[in-house]
Amino acid sequence: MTADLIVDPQIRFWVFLPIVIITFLVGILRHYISILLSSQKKVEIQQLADSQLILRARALRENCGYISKNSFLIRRQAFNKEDGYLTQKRPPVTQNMMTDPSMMTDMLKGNLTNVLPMIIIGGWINWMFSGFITTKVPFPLTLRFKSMLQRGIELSHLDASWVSSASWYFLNVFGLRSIYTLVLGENNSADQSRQMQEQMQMTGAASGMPADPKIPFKAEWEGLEIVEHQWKLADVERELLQEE
Amino acid sequence: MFSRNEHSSVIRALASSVHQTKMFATFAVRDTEQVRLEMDDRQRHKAQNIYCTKPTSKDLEQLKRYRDNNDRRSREVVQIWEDTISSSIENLGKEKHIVLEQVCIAAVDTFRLNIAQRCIQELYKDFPNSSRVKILESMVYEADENYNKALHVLNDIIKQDCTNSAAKKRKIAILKALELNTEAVKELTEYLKTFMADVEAWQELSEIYINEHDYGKAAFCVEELILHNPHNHLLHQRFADIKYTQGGIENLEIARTYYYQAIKLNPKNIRALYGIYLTTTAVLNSQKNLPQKKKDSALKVVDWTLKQIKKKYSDAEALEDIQECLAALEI
Amino acid sequence: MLFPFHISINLTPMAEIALMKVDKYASQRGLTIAGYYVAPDNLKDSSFEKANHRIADKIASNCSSSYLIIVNSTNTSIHTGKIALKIAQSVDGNYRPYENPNIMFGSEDPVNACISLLENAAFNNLIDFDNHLDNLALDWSNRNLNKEIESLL
Repeated sequence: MTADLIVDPQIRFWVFLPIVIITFLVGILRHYISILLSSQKKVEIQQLADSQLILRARALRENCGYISKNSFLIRRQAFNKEDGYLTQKRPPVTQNMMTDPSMMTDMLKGNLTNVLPMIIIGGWINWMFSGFITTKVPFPLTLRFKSMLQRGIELSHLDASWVSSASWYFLNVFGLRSIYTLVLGENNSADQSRQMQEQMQMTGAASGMPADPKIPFKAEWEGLEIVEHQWKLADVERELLQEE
Repeated sequence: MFSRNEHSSVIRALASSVHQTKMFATFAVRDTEQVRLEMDDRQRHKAQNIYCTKPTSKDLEQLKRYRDNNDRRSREVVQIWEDTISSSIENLGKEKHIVLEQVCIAAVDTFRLNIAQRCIQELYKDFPNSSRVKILESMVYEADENYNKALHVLNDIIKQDCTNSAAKKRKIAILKALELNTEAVKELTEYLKTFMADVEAWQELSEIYINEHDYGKAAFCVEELILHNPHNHLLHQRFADIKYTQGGIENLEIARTYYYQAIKLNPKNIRALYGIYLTTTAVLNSQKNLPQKKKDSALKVVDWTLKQIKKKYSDAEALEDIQECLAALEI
Repeated sequence: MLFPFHISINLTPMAEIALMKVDKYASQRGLTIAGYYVAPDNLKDSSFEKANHRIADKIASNCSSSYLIIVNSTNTSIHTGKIALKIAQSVDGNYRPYENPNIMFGSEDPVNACISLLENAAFNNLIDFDNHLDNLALDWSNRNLNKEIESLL
């Protein structure tokens, strides 16, 4: 029944290819705009120190079996004692996400470069190219795929492997990522040069750190209190000698 | 040919290369066999390059390999630069900046300051305000023993951005070069208060302490390294080395356990085998009235290590050495 | 003959192994270990206190008048005509520095020999005890390199 469905070749030149080209160009444009808008994030030294502290505490908690009990206890003492690293008193942090203006502008910029174009271009494409069947995937699909592949075409008898123009646009949006890395370079060349501008940031620094360090500190403190020291090297001699 | 004047600077560069540049050298076991192969490769490569001065992808791959392995092959890097890259920087494509930085550090390491300066100029063209390039600039001053100027540059960077860890590390390196070890230790501990999880810094601190014969503190630093990287056999071996050097029955026992761990993690670690041999014999010698049972087990361990060492040598086909080696141990 | 050693000289275990081996090597060939030379990794550092190391003490305990030699990197310029070595000899277990060492080199022109070694990049062929421990097939006694040096002198 579907075998006799023939798509007008005009659709290829006026719908199928334009959608690919538009999404691709928009992607590249967005990439450069985001470079233009991106502000260098200033990391507070206190924040950085906090995240490093957490990292160190975590390393101690996870790998304490590799150092002797004594060394472990000394370290735990330093972290957990009264006014130790993890229990130090801090002035309460007043600024939070919404009141911090720099946070706001960052969020705005993120929206500006990511969400807004998606909506505008998506809407425009829907309006311009709605109702076309653009291509067919070369294998049969179950009916469930209809809602995914045939957005904008409400034909209950159409075979599910036909793809509508609106769906084709979304496929492009998500599928072009590897093409971007090809064109814009691994990790996107602009990213690399930005790395040059700043400094190589330390791993785990600042990025996921909430403004108030008390909560993760408390969690680490508890973790360290609970952890039981098990000396992992106790049996290593016997193990090795037994191999013989 | 060298003129005499140039030559003295070459000698100086050779001597200076150890501490002056590579910021915080990491310990990488050099696989000499592979190094040899690479050298052959390069020579063959050079022959091809007589007629073409474009940087081949092979050159760039080689440079990338050095970068990735953290190899300190400054002479080779500078050689590649002179052979091919220097005449066609624009052809480097997206790797340009990273290669320029690599060459710059290598050039500083080999005291080819004009090459380094050229790289910096190229980088400044693209990044006029980059702190990373400024650090390179400070390294050139440093190699030229113009420490004041280097410190000035670094202090400026830190004033602008107090989270710049690389600049702080360079400052510590300068203190080391100036033989101000106590100041270096002070700065480094101060640095570690902020950057607690910086493994490189812990390692550097441990090395300074070792040089100052402060083995207890060095051991603490190495423990910190082990916590961050518990599967690196070199760290376990290093910790054991320190404990052995400290001496005393208790430390010897700890040292031996860590040597075992090093072998468990990497059965090829011959140093750890020797370490077990040394610790066990030291325990045997230091306690005259060891219980018979303990003595037996210790002797068994000695036997085991000697057998292992012998096997390692015969695997390596260093048969000539093996007799001498065993003879030396069984005195 | 020189037997070099590089990583962490302030940690004793591998140095002890090396010393054992060199001792054996020497005694088999009827030689004695006559001294210990240091090239400090810091250019400015050429003090005897730092270099005065357990290995040197150990050698002194075996060989009563052994030498401790330090490469003084601040003097490695051909023009000054000075010798870039500092030498101390052990007397009763303590190393006493020579004020003005008078060193005779076995050949007419050691400087030229050094230059030609540098030009041939002979340092690439140098194998120290640490390289040997990394790869046991390598020969730490540097027979080939020593031959090359002798042929130049």
